[in-house]
Amino acid sequence: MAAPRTTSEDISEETIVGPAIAIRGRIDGEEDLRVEGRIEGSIALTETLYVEPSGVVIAEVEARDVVVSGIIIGDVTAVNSVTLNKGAKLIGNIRSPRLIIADGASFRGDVAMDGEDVLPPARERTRATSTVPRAAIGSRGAAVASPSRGRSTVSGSYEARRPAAPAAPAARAASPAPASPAARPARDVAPPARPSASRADDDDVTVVIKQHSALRKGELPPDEDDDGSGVPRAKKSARIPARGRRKAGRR
Amino acid sequence: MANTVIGSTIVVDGEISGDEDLIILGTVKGQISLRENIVVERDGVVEANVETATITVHGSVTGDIHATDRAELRADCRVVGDIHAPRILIADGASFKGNVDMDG
Repeated sequence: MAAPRTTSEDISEETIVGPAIAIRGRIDGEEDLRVEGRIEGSIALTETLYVEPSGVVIAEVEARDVVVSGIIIGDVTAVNSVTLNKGAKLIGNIRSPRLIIADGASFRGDVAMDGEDVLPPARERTRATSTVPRAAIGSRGAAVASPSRGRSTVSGSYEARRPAAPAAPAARAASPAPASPAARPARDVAPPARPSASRADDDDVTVVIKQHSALRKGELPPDEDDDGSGVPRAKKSARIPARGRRKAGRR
Repeated sequence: MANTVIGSTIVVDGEISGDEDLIILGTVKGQISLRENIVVERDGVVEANVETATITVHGSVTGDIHATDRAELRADCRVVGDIHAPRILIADGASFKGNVDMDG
């Protein structure tokens, strides 16, 4: 009579879900749970969840520690640590202050270690890298119109592309006439409308704006072509040539 | 280690199915479908309909029991529900309320 009871109570410190067992639903507990079979639903433990190599857990998991050698599909929240051993497969998000992933483990999902948001800084980095090429291109244009270069260093690609614009107002303040003819041979896009406009200061401003809107749309690479170094640069900057072709076609 | 054990602090709310022995020291609510043996230990609580080959109850079972082989109600157990099994053993001291069907 007592034989089955004694054997079971020897093991009673640990709950085992055997390889031929499937549980569908919710499991709560305050002791270790060793899964060799299959569990679907949710698991909430105050101790350690072991998912053995034959174990499959398709569930939201909360535990103090989670040690995975089998498969978990679902979000895992651990108070202490998550360990993915060799052969483990986990698809889901992990929130745990400690995460150990061994060689040979497979994992797909987000990781959040307490107190840190890993994702937002990563996104900012990608944005920063994407803006760098624009700024570099703009600084080449700034080299042509040197006087305003100090402003272009403030930030952003727009500032970097505008350097010639402050240069023109400066020239306008001194003498409007010399500024616009000097700019046009190099960069003028639509010559027929502009010679008359250049006589008045206000019109001169509009001319400058149009010119530099043209610059934004990709006039810089042609200028660099004039310098003789434009071909490799045009290949480097993928965005500028695509826009510049329109202007080149108008010319 | 081949056995499946539901520990004393574990609560399972749902369905358990499978092909191996199950020892319950904790709480199981919902449904149990096995083709092997179930032992509900002294502190074990089952609030579920049970289908199995044999079941041995030391603790508490609330729900219908369908055993293809044998159902044993040991001393100090408490069972509320219908029992369908070809062989039913009820020990002295067992508490049982429900229907018994031994026709299979």
